[in-house]
Amino acid sequence: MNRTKSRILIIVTIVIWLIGLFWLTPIIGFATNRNLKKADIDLDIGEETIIYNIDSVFYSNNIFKDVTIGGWAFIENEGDNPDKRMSLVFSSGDQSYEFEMITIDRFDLRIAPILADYKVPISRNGFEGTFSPLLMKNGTYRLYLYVRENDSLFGITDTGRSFIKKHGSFTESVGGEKIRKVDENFDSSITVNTHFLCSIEDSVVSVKGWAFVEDGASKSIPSQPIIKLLKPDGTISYFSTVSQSRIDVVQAFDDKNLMLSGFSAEISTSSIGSGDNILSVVFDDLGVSSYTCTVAR
Amino acid sequence: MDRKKSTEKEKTADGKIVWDFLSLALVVFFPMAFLYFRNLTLVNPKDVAVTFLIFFLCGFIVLVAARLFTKRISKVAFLLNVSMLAIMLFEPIETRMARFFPFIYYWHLIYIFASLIVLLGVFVFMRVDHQSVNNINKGIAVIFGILILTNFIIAIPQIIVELQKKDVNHNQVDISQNAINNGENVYLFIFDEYGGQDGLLRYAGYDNSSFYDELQNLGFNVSPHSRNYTIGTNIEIPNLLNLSLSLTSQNYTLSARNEILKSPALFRLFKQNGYSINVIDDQSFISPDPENIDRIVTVQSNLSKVESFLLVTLKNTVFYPFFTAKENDRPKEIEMLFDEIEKSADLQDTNLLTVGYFMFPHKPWVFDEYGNEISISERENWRNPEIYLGQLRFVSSQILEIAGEIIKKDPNCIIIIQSDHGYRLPMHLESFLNETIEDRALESNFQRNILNVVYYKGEELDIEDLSGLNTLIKVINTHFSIEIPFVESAN
Repeated sequence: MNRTKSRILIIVTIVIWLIGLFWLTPIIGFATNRNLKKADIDLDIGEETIIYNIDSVFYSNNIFKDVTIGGWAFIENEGDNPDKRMSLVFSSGDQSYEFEMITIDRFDLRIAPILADYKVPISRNGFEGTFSPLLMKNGTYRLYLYVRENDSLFGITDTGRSFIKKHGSFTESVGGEKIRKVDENFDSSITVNTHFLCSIEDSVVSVKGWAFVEDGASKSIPSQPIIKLLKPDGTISYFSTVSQSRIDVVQAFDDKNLMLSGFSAEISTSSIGSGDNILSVVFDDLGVSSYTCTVAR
Repeated sequence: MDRKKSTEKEKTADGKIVWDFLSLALVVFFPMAFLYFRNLTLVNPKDVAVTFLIFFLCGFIVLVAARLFTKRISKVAFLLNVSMLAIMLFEPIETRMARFFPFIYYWHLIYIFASLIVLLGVFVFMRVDHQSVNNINKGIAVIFGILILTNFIIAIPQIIVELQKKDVNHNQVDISQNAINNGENVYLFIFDEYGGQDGLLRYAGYDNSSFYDELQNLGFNVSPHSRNYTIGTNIEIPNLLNLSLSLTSQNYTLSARNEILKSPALFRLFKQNGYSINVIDDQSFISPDPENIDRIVTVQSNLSKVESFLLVTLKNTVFYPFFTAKENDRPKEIEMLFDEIEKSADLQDTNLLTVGYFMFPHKPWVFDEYGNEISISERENWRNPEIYLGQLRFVSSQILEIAGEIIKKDPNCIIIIQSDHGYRLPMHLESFLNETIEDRALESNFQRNILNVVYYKGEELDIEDLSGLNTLIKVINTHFSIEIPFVESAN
């Protein structure tokens, strides 16, 4: 009887110990005010265009692997919205997390030449937020920005930036992954308008620029641009890109649909050939840019 | 009879207690011995002793407290040995475990270790007799004694080399020459790891000529191709301040370096010519004897120094998050140091020598070129020269701004700005990232290519291709009208 009791005691102790181990990270998160809030924001809400820029993503090396994201965002209006709210929303399939940020006065935005054509709200346009990604589930997350100027003016926008969370590591996707199949049945009436720079930096080919599709008078970004690489030996490879906000492109072409026209990629130098490698931009099944950039190795 | 027996028992217990204390001492000393014997030329034994005492005293107090309650403290000593090992080697264990179990975080490991120690405690106190535990402690003492001895034996060749080094002649320069000067303020600023023009072009593809152009516009004489004789800061700075090649890689010892820096020839020369000495000392690298100078500014406590033995040891322990956080103060420290450079121009109108050593653009890299803080994860990223270049460009802009301010206030001053060595990318890629250097002599030339510029009262001074040390000697000879001989050029 005593033996059975002690066995039960050992099993209960082990179970409690394992539960403690399993719940330790959420408990630590709670104790250090690093709670995760599952987002209940509809990613399709609001017709309002959010004008924004992410200035910095700062990765700390503390034990929580805290990440601080700062920038500015607003929905055009001429009012002052002291109760303005801004959140970062990380979404991966049906898993979304929301991190509310503090809002900061950024009076410089009201005199910035690049925003001269916009109605910039009076205050609270800057944001900064710190969160620990350790509590998030593993996966690839797309970053959205939720802005609520007031009860009637709010919206959410896709920043085009993706982050990969895998256990203790949280890194931003930089593009440059090889794509196996790209459809080159291009439509001759479509033009790919682009400008980008390419250079070899630190054993990667860095590609940065903007691109969009022009179909008559309509400008759009129907899909993520793809980098086409024509090697000196005539072989062709395709590489993925990541998006970036480009308010200067919006201003230059006077089209708010082009906010996410920025792109970049870091292609391994092992993928390029010896001699001149020609890079162009492709939109799958739509068109290829006439503009090219050459890197030599 | 009973009393006699009891006294004998106590004696035996007292004899055995030695093993309990000895095992604790050896367990605590082992991680330090490992570090020390691998870095003999960089670590001061006094720092090792202080670090050992701090850790040992913590365990010692627990053991003494246990002794107040019982004469048999072997079980406590055993648990303390295991706990001390877990505490002192926590960070390396965590790093290695994370490779195999990436889902285990810092707090999980504390939870696991704490549980294991409690379990072990229950087992030892309930199931193991005192004599056996005392024998285990003996075994621990022997094992760790052997481990420490092994580390010592491995270090013997290096120890022999150190012992065979000849005494360093500290006084190679005759500073008793009759000097003439008008008491102009002199500034010597050393920026660690600021690469010269050739090294930056080779390793970072960066053309820094616009920086040199702007310095020339301020009235500086520049030498973009200057090279020093070493890539070791510990050798270059004592030599520079002692106006001679006193230290070489053959005769270098830590004690010789410290001895030179207590009262180097440069300080003595200026002192005897009526100058006050002001030192701005990042990381307490110069650490002169306070009696030989008039003012010293340091911005770090002992625990904030990047390379102190105590901090390196603490960063291996379970307490490492608190000390990693200390490094977050680096951007503030750099800003404070630049403020101090600016302040030094207001201290005295004449007869002031200011010597500043700054451990930047050397890693940890904390700023981009605009002075924005960069991610902590990039602080030691040797793979991407852009990270280093960001801090270098920021430092360049600060140098231009501050040099301009000093010259505006005091156009008759003398400003010497140098680096101790250049951008040592190959050396670090080899040491940390297992890359190979194909042509050592060639890469050494580029890594020794330094920043070397002089503002001499707005006058021209030919320093083209001179080493940092010969440049300083030339400035001093011109300033005091004396003749300190140039050192033999390795260029």
